[in-house]
Amino acid sequence: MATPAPYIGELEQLVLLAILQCGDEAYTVPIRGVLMERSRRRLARGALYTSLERLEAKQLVTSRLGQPLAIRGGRARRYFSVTPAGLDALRDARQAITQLSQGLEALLEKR
Amino acid sequence: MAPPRLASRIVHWAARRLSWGEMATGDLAEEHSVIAERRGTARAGLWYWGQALLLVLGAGYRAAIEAATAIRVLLSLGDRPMTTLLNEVRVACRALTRYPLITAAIVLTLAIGLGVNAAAFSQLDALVLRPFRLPDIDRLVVVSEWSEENSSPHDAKETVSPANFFDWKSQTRTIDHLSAYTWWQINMSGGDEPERVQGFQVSGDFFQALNVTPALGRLLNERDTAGGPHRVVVLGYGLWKRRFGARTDIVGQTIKLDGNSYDVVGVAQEGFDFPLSAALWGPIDASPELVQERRDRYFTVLGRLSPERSIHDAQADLTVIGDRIRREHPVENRRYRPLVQSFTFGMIDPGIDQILGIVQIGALIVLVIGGANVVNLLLARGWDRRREMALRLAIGAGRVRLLRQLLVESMVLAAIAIPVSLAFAWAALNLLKSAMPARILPFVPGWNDLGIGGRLVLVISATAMIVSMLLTIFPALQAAKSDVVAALREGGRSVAGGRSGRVVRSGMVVLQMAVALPLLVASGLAASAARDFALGPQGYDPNGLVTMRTVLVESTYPDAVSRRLFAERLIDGASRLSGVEAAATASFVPSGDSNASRELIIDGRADEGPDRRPTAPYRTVSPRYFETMRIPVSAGRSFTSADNADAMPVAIVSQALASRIWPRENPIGRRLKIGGAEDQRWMTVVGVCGNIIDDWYSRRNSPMLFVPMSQRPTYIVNLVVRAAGDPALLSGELRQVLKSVDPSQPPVHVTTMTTMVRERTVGLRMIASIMGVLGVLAVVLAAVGLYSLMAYHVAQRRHEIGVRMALGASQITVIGQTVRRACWLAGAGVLIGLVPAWLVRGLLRNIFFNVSAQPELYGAIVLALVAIAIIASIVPARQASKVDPAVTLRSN
Repeated sequence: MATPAPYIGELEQLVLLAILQCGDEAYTVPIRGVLMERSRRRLARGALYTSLERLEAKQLVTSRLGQPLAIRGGRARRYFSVTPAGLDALRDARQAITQLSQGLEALLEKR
Repeated sequence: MAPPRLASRIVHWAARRLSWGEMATGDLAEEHSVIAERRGTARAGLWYWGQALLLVLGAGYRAAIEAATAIRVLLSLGDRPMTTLLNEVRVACRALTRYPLITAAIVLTLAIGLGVNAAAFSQLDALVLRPFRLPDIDRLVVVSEWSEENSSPHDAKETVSPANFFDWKSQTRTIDHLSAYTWWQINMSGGDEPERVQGFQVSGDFFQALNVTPALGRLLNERDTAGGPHRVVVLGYGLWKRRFGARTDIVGQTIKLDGNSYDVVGVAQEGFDFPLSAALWGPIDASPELVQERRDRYFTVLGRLSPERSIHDAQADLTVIGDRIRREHPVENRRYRPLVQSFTFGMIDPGIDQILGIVQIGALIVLVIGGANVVNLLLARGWDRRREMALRLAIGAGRVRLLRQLLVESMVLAAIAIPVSLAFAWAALNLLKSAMPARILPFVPGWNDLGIGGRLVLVISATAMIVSMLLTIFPALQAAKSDVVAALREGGRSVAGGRSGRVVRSGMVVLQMAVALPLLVASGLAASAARDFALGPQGYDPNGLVTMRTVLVESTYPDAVSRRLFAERLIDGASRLSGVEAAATASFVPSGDSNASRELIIDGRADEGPDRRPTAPYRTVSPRYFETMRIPVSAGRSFTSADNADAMPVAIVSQALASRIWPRENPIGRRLKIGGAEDQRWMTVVGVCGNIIDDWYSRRNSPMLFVPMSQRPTYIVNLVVRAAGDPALLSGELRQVLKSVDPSQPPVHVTTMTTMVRERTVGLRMIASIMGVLGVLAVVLAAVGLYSLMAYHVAQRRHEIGVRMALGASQITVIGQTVRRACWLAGAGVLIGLVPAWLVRGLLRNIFFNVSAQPELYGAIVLALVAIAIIASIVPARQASKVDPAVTLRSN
């Protein structure tokens, strides 16, 4: 039996989704931009970084460093990508939401 | 586009310890350049600064959390903190009860040390730091004038001339409600008995300056002073309750003061009796003459700093105004400059802060000496407990935990000592309060607030905790350092605490001696000053004298003849009483509450103007005054009844005045006159009398000028009567004599002269007693310290002494060694202490004027300390000499 994907919180779900949305350009600046734009909420810089570190520790994302850039004061961008385990975790979370929402469509429908 | 350099550095610094610091720094730089491109550099810079600030705040928050966690971990070592603490308190209590004698000794020593400090601090707080309880007192200032000829403004400040006050008031831009007050002692008649009442005349906005509200009616205002005289008064709350039975219809009624009718316009709020226990307040009569008065200085001036103005602004402002006044009126103001001081500092008697400061230092010295004993006791106990400590270390307790346990023990000791010390202080303060005579009480603002208050409890508790922690640190470190193996080995023999413990213990004894010496010198000097002024020769014989004062009312006694007749009838009536040897009157008697001085113009010398003339205390006395007082007239003659208003004006000078004005010349027959007086006739000196102590505070041997009462009768009449028997028995009859002469004249201070002297010197005697008590405590504690050190030293060396004696050392040699060691320690301490002891004299010289070098005092104290060292070491030394070598050697 396959081990169940680890539980992830709401912010972690949002971060994973934002990474997927950014595709090849998934480094911290656009991740935070996409997340704040689409979820329409403020996200503290530190909170994003800590979430990313946590997701990496749980092996739900991996990261690689790009080339050092002048625009970043000589620092490299760190690009993130979602691992298969990360995708599983997202699917599980989504499924849980879907199942729990069944029969409540009328209530949850946006008016 | 690079971000602002400073902000960038701040970002680096704040991000340096974060795991995501690199990422954040890079992102911020990148986002900055994007914003700069879109919205311009300025906006981007501002944004970047905002981000830097957020990072710094975050870093600070995280550091605080980390520190708090670390402290929690240290305190609880992983347990729940409260449970751990309670456990440790329980363990500490058990440990302390295991050594009940040592615990009791430590608590008692701490309680004595803290108790004297509590009593001293209570005095300092009540009399120096917060003697006046007035609303918003921090904004109140006192403005006085100081004479440049004196070195320190605080010592040389004087009251202000009315004209200068009115000029300041109209010109200052930094002080609101600048107001003045002056003494106004009045006879209040009506009711059963006439009464002498302490009042004050105040300028219009006196009450506004002090922010006082009326309990009834209204207070005085500017309309009451201008275009006067206005006969209105405000009653003090106390007087209103006592004399008028707290009648609410008193407002609008008329009362008789000095024979004149005054309307009562209001009653001041309860508790307000400023200045000097004032019983009522009337308005200053701002007549045109008063507004022009620049020579006499008798206004005390206070005010409230304007909003946003500091005391320095006010001083600068007043200095400019003062310079202007000096240019316009140079004769009267040549020497004087305005001085702005905080209300509390400006109002307390100069010197009282120094006196009580010295008392507080003395109390701290007692605490230090006691503390040294506590350290020694803890070290000794630590040595006894080394097995316990070693065991606990061996079964896994950390050294930090042991250290913490010992600190908790010290806290428990402090917690027991605090209430005991407060009880000591309470008893001592009550003793002091009961010793203060009612006559002096009004002159000591804050005295009624002496006692144990919340502030004192806080200060003493904090001191107790800190002191007890400090005292425990070294012994605790020693104990926690225990060598597990050596301590557990049965019969292990080493010196307690090792070499450092020995050095610290000896050092404590040296320290005790070194700090005890200056304290003892201060006690000795204060005692000798008190003895000189209060009990020593006064220059007259106070024994057998009784005195009574009354102050004549101008409306009843408008001229010199009526005043002279009053005095003569009073003397006559008193002389007729049985048991009276002699009677006389004087304008002022020694050790009284008030004084008067006059400027002197000397015949044959150039008069250099009002502010350059010599001045001297001035007394108007009746013919038999010198005989009654037993003041020797050493040259010439005394006054006689022939020295009347029609005769040649004469004077008698004291020896001190004679030698100041006519050194190496015969003063008899010389002439002088009083500057500024109405009577400008020359007075011929007909006699020289001995010096007397008029007031200890104005030094011994102050020069003095006496003139005959018949030639210059005064309003103030002090009757002095020499009784054949007990003078106190005459007081009732003297009151009757006064009543028979004029029933409307109230008698004031009917008392014996010895009481007057005793009351007048009460402050000095109190300080001497307090210093004496501190000195005795210091000596006793130091002796106990030395004794316990030597006893411990002997107990530690029992074995060694046994060996020595087995090898042939005599008892005398053993005693000699122990005593010698004690003497060495005491001697070293005394040698170190001589330096501060010498400096103490300079300090005290400012306070007790006659403090001389007194080498014999120093010698006696040094000898006494060494003698105490010898006595304290004799008992342990004798014990050492009784060691039986055989027993000692066998026991090993």
